[in-house]
Amino acid sequence: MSTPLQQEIPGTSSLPHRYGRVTPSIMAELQSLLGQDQVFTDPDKLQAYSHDETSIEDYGHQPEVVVFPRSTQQVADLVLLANRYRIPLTPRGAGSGLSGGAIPLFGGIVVSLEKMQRVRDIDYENMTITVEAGMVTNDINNVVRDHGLFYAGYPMSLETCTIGGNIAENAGGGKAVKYGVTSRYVLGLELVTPSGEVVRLGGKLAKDVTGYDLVHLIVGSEGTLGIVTAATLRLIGLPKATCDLLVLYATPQAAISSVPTILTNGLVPTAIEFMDRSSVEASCRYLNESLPYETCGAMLLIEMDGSDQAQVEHDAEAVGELCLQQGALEVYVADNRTTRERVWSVRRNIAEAFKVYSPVQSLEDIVVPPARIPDILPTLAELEREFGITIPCYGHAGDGNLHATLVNPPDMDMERWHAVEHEALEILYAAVTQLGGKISGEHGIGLKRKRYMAEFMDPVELKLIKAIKQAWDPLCIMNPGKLFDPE
Amino acid sequence: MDPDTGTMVREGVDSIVNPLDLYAIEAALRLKEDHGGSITVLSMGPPAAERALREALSMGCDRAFLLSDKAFAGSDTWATSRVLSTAIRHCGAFDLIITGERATDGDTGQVGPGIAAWLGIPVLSHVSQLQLRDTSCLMATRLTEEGYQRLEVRLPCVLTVVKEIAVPRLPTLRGKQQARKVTIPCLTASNLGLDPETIGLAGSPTRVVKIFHPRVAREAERIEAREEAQIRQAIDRVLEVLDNQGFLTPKRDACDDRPYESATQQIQAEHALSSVDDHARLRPQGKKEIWTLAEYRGGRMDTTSFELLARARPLADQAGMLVTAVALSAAITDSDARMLIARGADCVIALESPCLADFECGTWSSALVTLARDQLPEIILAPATTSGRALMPHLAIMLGTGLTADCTDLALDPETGDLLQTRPAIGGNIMATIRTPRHRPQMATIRPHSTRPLQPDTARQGCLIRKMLDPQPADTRVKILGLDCESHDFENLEAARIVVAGGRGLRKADGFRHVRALADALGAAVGASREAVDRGWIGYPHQVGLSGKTISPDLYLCAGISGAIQHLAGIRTAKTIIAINSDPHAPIHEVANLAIIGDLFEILPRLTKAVLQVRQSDHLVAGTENATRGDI
Ligand SMILES: Cc1cc2nc3c(=O)[nH]c(=O)nc-3n(C[C@H](O)[C@H](O)[C@H](O)COP(=O)(O)OP(=O)(O)OC[C@H]3O[C@@H](n4cnc5c(N)ncnc54)[C@H](O)[C@@H]3O)c2cc1C
Ligand SMILES: Cc1cc2nc3c(=O)[nH]c(=O)nc-3n(C[C@H](O)[C@H](O)[C@H](O)COP(=O)(O)OP(=O)(O)OC[C@H]3O[C@@H](n4cnc5c(N)ncnc54)[C@H](O)[C@@H]3O)c2cc1C
Repeated sequence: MSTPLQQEIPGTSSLPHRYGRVTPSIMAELQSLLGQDQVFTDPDKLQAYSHDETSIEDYGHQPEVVVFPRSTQQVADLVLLANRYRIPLTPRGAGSGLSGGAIPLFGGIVVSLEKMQRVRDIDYENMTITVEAGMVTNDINNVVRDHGLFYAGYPMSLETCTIGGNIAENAGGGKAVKYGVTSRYVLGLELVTPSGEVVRLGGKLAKDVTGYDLVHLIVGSEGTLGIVTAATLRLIGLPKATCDLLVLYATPQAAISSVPTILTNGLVPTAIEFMDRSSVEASCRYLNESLPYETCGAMLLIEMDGSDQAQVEHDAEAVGELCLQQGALEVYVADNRTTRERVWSVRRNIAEAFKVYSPVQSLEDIVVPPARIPDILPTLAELEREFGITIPCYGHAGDGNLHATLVNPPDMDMERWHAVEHEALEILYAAVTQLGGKISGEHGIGLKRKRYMAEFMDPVELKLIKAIKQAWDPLCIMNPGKLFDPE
Repeated sequence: MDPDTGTMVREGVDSIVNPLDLYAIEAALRLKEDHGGSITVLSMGPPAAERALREALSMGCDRAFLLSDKAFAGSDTWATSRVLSTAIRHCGAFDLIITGERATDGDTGQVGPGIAAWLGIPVLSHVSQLQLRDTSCLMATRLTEEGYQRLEVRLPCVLTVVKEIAVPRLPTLRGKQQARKVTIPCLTASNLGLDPETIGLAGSPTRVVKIFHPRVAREAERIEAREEAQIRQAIDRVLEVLDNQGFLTPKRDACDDRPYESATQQIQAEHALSSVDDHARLRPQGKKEIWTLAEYRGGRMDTTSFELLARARPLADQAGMLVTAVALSAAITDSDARMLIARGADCVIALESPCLADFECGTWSSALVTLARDQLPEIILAPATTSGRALMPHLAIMLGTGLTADCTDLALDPETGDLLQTRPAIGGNIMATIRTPRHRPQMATIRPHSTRPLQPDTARQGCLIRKMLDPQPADTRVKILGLDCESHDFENLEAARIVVAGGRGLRKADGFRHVRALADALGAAVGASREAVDRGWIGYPHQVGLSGKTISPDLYLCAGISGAIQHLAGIRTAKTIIAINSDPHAPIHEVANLAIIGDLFEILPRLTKAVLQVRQSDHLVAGTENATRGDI
């Protein structure tokens, strides 16, 4: 593949010679390690595993082989073999990533964890569950719901993504304002290190300062420090009552401006999600749904939950009143299964809707201190004006995390678009940094943002990160080329 | 469900408005916005149903009544519509009653037409559009199998509305606050002057005798289809599965009288269609009758008419009953009557009148009431079509008997001889077997295309009785204005009984040609994976899966789709899945009932040809010698 952007990724053309190729004899070894039916090289399969949810044209790369190990032992054997021949390994969950993390930039072996999805242990007394890394995140809740328990760390892609991918990206979700992101729920990990050793980190512990906190070094490491094969997760009691408010505002600025007020009011919402009008419109069109967006410039979706129905309704009402005081046009209430699913599915499907209606785009993931998000909107408006592009915007406003989506206007050719995209991102990221923010809140750096991370991160921090990588993975075979270019 | 009584346990579950009733509320709210008036909501249920009523109030309804009494518990649709219609009268004057299409748990759609029968006012079912013409008349559009039927109806009347009517609004915070202040009166049986013996479980004509879970574990069968012989075998096996499930019913053209004419000539000579006298002779004293409804659709006798005969015939043979097909239309030809006889009827009663040319619930119901009171059939079967599902509940109330909706299986109880009617409920998650022990006739609507018509047997004998009815409709309150066929999106993926889908394995846009051809042959809708949609091979409305449509067809046949988890999310409730994929490890093969491992470009065109052959010839599937018949 040779699209302009790939050639721009420094080093991709010169580096592969450092790595061994998957020769027929290595294939034979792989097959005897894993069995015939867990090793694939047919072009259809390779193509399907050459990309994640980022654009295949911009970022796709074919692996040489895709394998589906079924046990930790098989993963360890595989990593040892890769060490012997210096073959790059790319761990992969469901491939729902939005930063190119699961793309095998240097070919080699894609290690898909999707066949490892057993529940190893549910411990009701300690309120933990131990699952294999390939388990689809939503399935965890399906397993524990009947016991009145709940895994709160899930992202919006819950029906798709795997817990291994969530851990590698430290995914955040629609409930993070109250419940926090994945890292809060990871208590222990089983990891195959880049040199092929199996190690168990952490445990069913409420606290643990025995040595460095390696569990949380792995959380968010994007598969560059080893392959997670299993995880012990914290469960919490399932909230018994939930109430959502869909709040309409005249302008995005008005909506975003009321977020800090809501956050500091003393009641803790589970979620405060922001959707500007074009996001709601696209998603409604996509779902054949109808929400009253015609009259508004943006909406907030605010969720309250708790153990008592009357209390939750009371809290929701208080928040609703607050929004009205803040100039909201209207507050809608969704307090039962039917209506709640309606409003959340509009929120969940925005990304998919934009993929259909504006296939050429850059889905951003900027994060700033929650009280500063009103300050980022002027920059977005300015970029729209300056470059003649549209930037629909939605996201986890309560976390200061916005998915501004730069959309290629229909009349702009690809070359020009790539230039505009790059220039606009430079300005956006500079503004975000200025506000004390970061370029990614939950989707990760992967391939997509590594050039910008190098630019906007404190050089000392970057140096430390590279030192850690060097110490863990001296051969640089574990998901190489992610976060930063190999030296 | 209560395993002992087979009735719904409504206590302790999250009490929400039946999602389809929200459309009825929205329709009412829009009328009110445009024309003024006030809206009253009624719900019959446990005290917790008050929460659902408050939701309706917060959307903008004016008054609410809760009908709650231990004596109401266990009501079937007969008893429910009795209680509701009594309460409606109790609540004062009204102009219009709107109900949802059906409840998503019981799933019958019988209560709306039932209420109309109790109140003696017209009913229009499956209304997709409505407009008030003046204070005494409204124009409505009904969504039927043939297209949009336009009607005019005088108020008061009952409407059951479908989703197309309008997207329900969300309640506002202010609305919620106001709704909280409203007192909701609770009406009991004694408030309504109802004898507890005539309502609830005690007063219900139908009884649930058994509840069971449909077999969920898919039985997987894998067929390698790489070499010529294997491919042939695979195609045969697919045809057989299609046939077993009634998907190969002959095309309409094959069902008409033309190819049949010459063969019939003989019977005509041997046994001329007889008169009423013959009917009496053929129906010896005490011989019970099963009636099946015969309907015309688009000017042709509908295949469901023959499907019902195929259901009735074995029951009649088993219990020594007669099968009488009752056909309603403006005029019924001899050859249609002959076809009914050839396909299993002993007798055909042709009810003819210009006013029966199109379906109108009240007119059809009154025609059948007179006949049924006169002839006292033991069983009446009708198709669960938009007309059958409105007509039968109306008729059941008029005849004072029970009705079971949308049956997929019928049998006779060996002890009592009662009809055992089995139907899915709660979205197909459970099956219930229902009986009508003390009332006659026993009535059921049958899911269309769940049976294959019998082979026409030209040697069968039967009689035809023609009854000319009054050309003036019994009910002049409803006027049929016309039918629009073009505007209906018959490619409706969610409603399709069969979906044929393709994915990235089709290689290019042109690959969908093969998928479309098979879909056409089967009368199916076309689906696609996201890979295919993303590549622009087919439009987004065809996408099946997590971010596309969730569908529950009876048959999902897909080719070149790997079965990614997001795709499977859209077909979880498909009854039968047939997958064609060259990769033996493709996950789709793990969920398929029939997994064909082979090249879609080899298999699809040949399968299409074979299907066309069978459907056109109307002969039993040929070439099944290699496979054993098994239930999938
Ligand atoms: C519609 C949509 C909505 C989304 N919403 C959110 C959201 O709300 N919040 C959010 O945070 N993200 C969201 N995402 C992004 C994505 O779903 C998450 O990043 C998710 O955690 C990725 O999981 P995955 O299993 O698909 O991982 P993949 O995409 O397969 O991999 C992601 C990264 O994890 C690594 N990895 C995977 N498994 C392992 C393992 N076992 N061991 C080590 N490394 C591993 C890979 O190498 C790669 O670097 C969304 C994506 C989509 C398409
Ligand atoms: C958030 C999210 C939402 C998604 N939503 C959806 C959704 O709604 N619907 C959906 O479908 N996908 C959805 N996806 C995408 C999904 O993950 C898969 O990528 C997609 O379903 C794959 O489509 P496919 O099966 O056509 O392609 P592939 O997975 O590439 O499969 C093609 C198949 O064709 C077979 N094949 C090739 N040639 C032949 C031949 N000659 N004969 C027979 N077989 C052949 C191959 O063996 C292969 O199995 C979603 C993904 C995400 C992350």
